[in-house]
Amino acid sequence: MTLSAPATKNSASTSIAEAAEGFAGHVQVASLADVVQLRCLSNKRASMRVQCDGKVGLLFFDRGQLVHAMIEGEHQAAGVEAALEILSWPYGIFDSPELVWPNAPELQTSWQHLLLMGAQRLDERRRGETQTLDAKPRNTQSDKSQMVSIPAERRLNFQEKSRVNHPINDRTNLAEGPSSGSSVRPDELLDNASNSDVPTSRTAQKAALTPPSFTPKPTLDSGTLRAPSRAAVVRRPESDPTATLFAQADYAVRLDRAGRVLWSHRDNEELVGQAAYLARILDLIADELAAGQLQSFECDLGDRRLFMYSETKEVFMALLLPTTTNTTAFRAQLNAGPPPSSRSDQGGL
Amino acid sequence: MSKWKGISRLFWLPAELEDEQSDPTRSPGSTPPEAQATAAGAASNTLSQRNQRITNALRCMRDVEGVVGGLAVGPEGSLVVHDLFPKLGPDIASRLAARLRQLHEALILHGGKVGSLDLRFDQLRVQVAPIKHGMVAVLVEHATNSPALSMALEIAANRIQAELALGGAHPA
Repeated sequence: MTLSAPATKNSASTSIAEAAEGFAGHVQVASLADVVQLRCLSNKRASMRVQCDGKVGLLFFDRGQLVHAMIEGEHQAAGVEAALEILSWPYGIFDSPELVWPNAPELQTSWQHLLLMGAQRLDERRRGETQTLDAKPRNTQSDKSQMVSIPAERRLNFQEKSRVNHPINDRTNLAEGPSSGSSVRPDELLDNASNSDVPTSRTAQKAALTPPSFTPKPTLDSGTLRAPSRAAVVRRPESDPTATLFAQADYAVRLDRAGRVLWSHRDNEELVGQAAYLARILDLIADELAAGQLQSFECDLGDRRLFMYSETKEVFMALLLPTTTNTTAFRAQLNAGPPPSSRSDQGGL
Repeated sequence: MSKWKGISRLFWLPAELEDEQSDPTRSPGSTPPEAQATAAGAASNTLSQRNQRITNALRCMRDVEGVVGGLAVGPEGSLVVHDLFPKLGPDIASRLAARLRQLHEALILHGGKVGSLDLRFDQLRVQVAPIKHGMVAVLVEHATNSPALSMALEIAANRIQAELALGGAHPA
């Protein structure tokens, strides 16, 4: 991501005028996911318009979630399908005009999951293009390098006025991220470090509400603001068993031992009740056998597979997965499975 | 053996089981002491022979490295026979059987077809194979040969299912 000075005198004066209420600038980023993530982490109510090849997509953010998405015109769509389509656009421009808000936001899926699915769709398209257009063997370089190899003229252009609600502390300054070399807007970072709009208890609650492995946040370290690295923003499903598992889950819920739902991917009350009860019985079995704490529980349910695992002593996840899902890699990461050895483990019975 | 085995030593052990446990003449295929005691008190020789066959089926799973023991659970969650550590005792085996039945009930509540269950705790794993007249469970250390264990459990489950189908699932 780069920040550049306005190109013309007029635009410069306009930007300065606008900066009376905030900052205006021109930013290029390699992926729309970066901007969506910043928007969500800021916890602000905002809208964004994205354009790619004549298609116009609208994204709506509220309270840290992507709550609605729609595509206008010929390729009209709304909801999850529209969100995934927009997030899989490889290039384009975007801005943040004042848009009319939808009456009924349609997105219930977490923004992390949407980003993941959008990245997957984008990867699939790129692979398809590579196979179609290039008969040569596929380059073994990671897709990450493919992502950053987008020509500069095809990168996303960012023109947005950010409104800073509070003065920037003198001790804080913009710093490059550990690997992305990107800069981020100070209001986004300050909102995350100490968001005056969000009570402290909610900030703590939010940490428990976010799904695992998708929650890189800018951190305030010795007065230096650091942006998350690209690697942390969207993990490659192939290399991250957690991401693979969540991408395949039909339903997922995170519960605490008191039965409170901390996070869910799609509503499934049956799963919530079942998981809470099963967790209790499993704890009792562990006590009976003096077998320590529950690590994981897995069961074939005909057309699906129930997989539960403890994240902490108090919090556990329950997922409904396709029966074809191989949980071996994930269990190994959890340390829930047998240690790597010469023996084979095909993932239970 | 696992750390869990060390923890299990904390359980109370009846004196007669303590003596039998230290008996070096016991062969791998012989009936465990608690099953022998059960058989002695049983009214029917047929029932005791059936329990012995089920016990033998459970003991066959010990051929797979890492298997700690097993138990057969009746359709109502009653303990049919167990082949667990002598120190665990029948009380714990009975309670475990009832808990496994609770798990199964919760899983079939919404009409789903329930396959095998895999419970993993810090110290050991419990694998459960539902059968027509109950279920068969095996306790195993984490470091085991899972495919071999799957096969051993399947064979034991088939044999135990046949026994329970013939004679009903009378608790031991």
